[in-house]
Amino acid sequence: MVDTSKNGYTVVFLAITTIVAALVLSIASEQLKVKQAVNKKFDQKKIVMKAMGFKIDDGAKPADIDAIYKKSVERIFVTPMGKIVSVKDADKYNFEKTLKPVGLHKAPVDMANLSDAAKSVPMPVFIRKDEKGLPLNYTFPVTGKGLWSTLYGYISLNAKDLNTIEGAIFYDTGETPGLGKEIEADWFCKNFVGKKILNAEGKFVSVSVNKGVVNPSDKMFEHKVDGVSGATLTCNGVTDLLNKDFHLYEAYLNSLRGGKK
Amino acid sequence: MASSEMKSLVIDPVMDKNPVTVQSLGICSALAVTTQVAPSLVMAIAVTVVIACSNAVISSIRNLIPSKIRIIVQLVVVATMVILVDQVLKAYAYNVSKSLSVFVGLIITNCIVMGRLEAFAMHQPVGKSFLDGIASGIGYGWVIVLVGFCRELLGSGKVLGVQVVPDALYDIGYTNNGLMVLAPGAFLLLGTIIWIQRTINDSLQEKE
Amino acid sequence: MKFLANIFDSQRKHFEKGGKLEVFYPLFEAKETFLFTTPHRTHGGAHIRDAVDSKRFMSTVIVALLPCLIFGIYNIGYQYYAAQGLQADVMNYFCIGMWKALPIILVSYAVGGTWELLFALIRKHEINEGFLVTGLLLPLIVPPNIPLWQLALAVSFGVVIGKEVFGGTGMNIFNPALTARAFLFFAFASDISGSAPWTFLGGDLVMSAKQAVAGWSGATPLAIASEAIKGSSVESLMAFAPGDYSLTNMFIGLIPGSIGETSTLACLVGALILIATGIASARIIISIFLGGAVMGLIFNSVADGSSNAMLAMPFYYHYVMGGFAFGAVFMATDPVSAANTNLGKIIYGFFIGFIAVLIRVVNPAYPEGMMLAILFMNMSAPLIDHYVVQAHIKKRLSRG
Repeated sequence: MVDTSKNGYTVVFLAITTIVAALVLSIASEQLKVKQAVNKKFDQKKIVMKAMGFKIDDGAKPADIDAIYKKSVERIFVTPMGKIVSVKDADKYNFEKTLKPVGLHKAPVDMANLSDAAKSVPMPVFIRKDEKGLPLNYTFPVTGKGLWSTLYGYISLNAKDLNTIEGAIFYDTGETPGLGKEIEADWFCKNFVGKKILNAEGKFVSVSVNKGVVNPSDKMFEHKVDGVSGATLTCNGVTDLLNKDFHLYEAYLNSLRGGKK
Repeated sequence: MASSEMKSLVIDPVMDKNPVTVQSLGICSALAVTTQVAPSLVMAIAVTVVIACSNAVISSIRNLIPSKIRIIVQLVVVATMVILVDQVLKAYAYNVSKSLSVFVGLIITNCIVMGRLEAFAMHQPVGKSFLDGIASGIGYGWVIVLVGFCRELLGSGKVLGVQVVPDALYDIGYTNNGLMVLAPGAFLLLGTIIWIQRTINDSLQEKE
Repeated sequence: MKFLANIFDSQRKHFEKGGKLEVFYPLFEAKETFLFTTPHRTHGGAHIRDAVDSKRFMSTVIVALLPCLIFGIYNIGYQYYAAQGLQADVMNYFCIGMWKALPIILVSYAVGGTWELLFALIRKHEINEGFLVTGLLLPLIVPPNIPLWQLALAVSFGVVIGKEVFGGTGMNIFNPALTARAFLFFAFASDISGSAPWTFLGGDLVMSAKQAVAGWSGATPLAIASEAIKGSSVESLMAFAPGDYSLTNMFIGLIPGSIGETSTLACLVGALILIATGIASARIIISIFLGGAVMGLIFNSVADGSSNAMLAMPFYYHYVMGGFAFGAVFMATDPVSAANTNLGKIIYGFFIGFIAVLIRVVNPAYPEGMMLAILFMNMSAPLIDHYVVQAHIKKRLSRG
């Protein structure tokens, strides 16, 4: 039996324990790294694809989803000025984190006086393509402040008119369950489908969240979605962030519209 | 090992010495991860694995550990186990690990783990320590899975993600209980379980 | 009465110890003492010569609640017609109001009473009178459109979790009716928030749903004031076209809201009854209004008018909106959950008013800060009493 109370023994024992633990952990980490990375990417892809209108099973295999994504989704980056730019290490690029330092993370954003840094922020656009490679819809991330937390989402616009919303999704919000968090629910997200961001004259009016159910006879019916009752402030947050982010992408959308004419 | 000793080794942590309802340990995670059954189940399994394995490891080297640094050594072992579990979950059960978020990492601060190491594994042989770990894990597990079951059923109308409350019931005006989705819902359920357990077993009540 | 008394006397033997209906003694006792004074007499010297036992105590509260109840019933009918842009005579208002309020009160008493009886039978004690008041308080602080099954759940929660787990009447930390209201607020948020729940517009099994006039909205004054973005809350209230949200009208109470709490006037009548009979503590009520005023004035002084419109609202608006007055008079004064020392009552009341206004103004998600403030101070009441008593002891000791 060794004397466990000696200092030398203590140091050696601790060293061995630490080395063994470190060894075990690094082997495990090395073995599992690839699988974890796939999972993480897959998760974000799934959300984007849901906004695009793909029907995705919760139990779908990552490989299958990946195959569809590779075939029919293209991602590009554009700046608030409408320029298409390329981003190094695009898979690791964290768009939400880049917005904050340049002041684009919450409404209102003064589009007329953007700083130079803000003007050149790369913002992702996901393009869903049909079999022939023609764009079906354009999807971009939206983000802004809710009542308690940051709201994240994706909005998908029809590629033909760049006006009709084809899908919307909000996720990972920290709003009040049963009230503000309802914006993540299917009924609220489906609410956006078919709404228009331009009025009859082609002027931008955005889409806002109504207080309560929208009256079909409302003149603005095409630009309003049913609100969550009792969650007016979260809903106002959604209205503001949509307005903000449509503006950020407006230059790019205009360049697409101009190209068509 | 005598059979009665064996029985109390396995049964006590599950019932009369339950770590959650009797010793009030591990409450934090019991509140945080129990909004649904699936994460509760995974959490229960993760905690059981961590306790059982750490117990076994510490017990096997219990005579070699210098008593001055035994807490540090215990921490190293527990931390290693927790990180392993976290890594495995991230690789093989990504959705669940996402909903458990930091709480897998926080198993390290779960007092049940350190408590069993100090109180049991430091003085008992490997086999018994391992068994004690499993029993403590199950004691923790059944409580949080039960809480998770009630919260998911009442709060979302689902069990394990499958809707069990029929649409017909929603049509006539039934709504999900939002309180169950919030952390206080878990507190209330936990309190109710403790109330029932103490009513059934008088010996758990404090004497005045 | 003599006839009834004879029946009770002849039947008592069945319910007393050893009788065949012994289990149901609590039920028998409750009925008997409700009608007559209790046959039990104090053994040894009697110390109090007063007819007030806790049943008389409770019935006085009921009487004090009547103005709120009657006005609330009238108001349901009034809002029903007002939303459709119509007017009707008083009887119509009352009929509509009764149609909505009676089932709520019945469910509240039936469910709560069942739980009381159950616990009395299991624990073998007499039925507590406390529920007599709780059963009427709860219907007065819920919206008229509350689904009855939710109300039943809330009553069960209030009685079982709010009271019985602590050992029954007199042992509870929180006011059971408010506990039930808090349960409703957090559990079924969508049925008790927004503008729909506060005005009955038909649409149940018998009465067909009516169409509200264009532009009508059932938003409560609190909601209007807290959501006012530009300009001050007062202007938003005045500008709210579909309803009359002037100070006077809110004081009288012809506004949408929970059944019994809209009328500050009726609450004050109740307060007079309670204070005159010595049942509620005037100290608590007055210091609540004082606390609200202090917080309101603090907010006024820091208001810049842009970020939060409610900051600039005069404090007396808080008195007439939502459940401030009702809570101050009937909820905070519950002797079981309130502070008991004289100084403690003042501190307790002051912070209820203070916190209620704080929550209302600063936290837009919880417009009804009064409920949360009272529950919070219920929790702190024993602590306040403890320190008041300790301070008292110290003072006495230092005097030598």
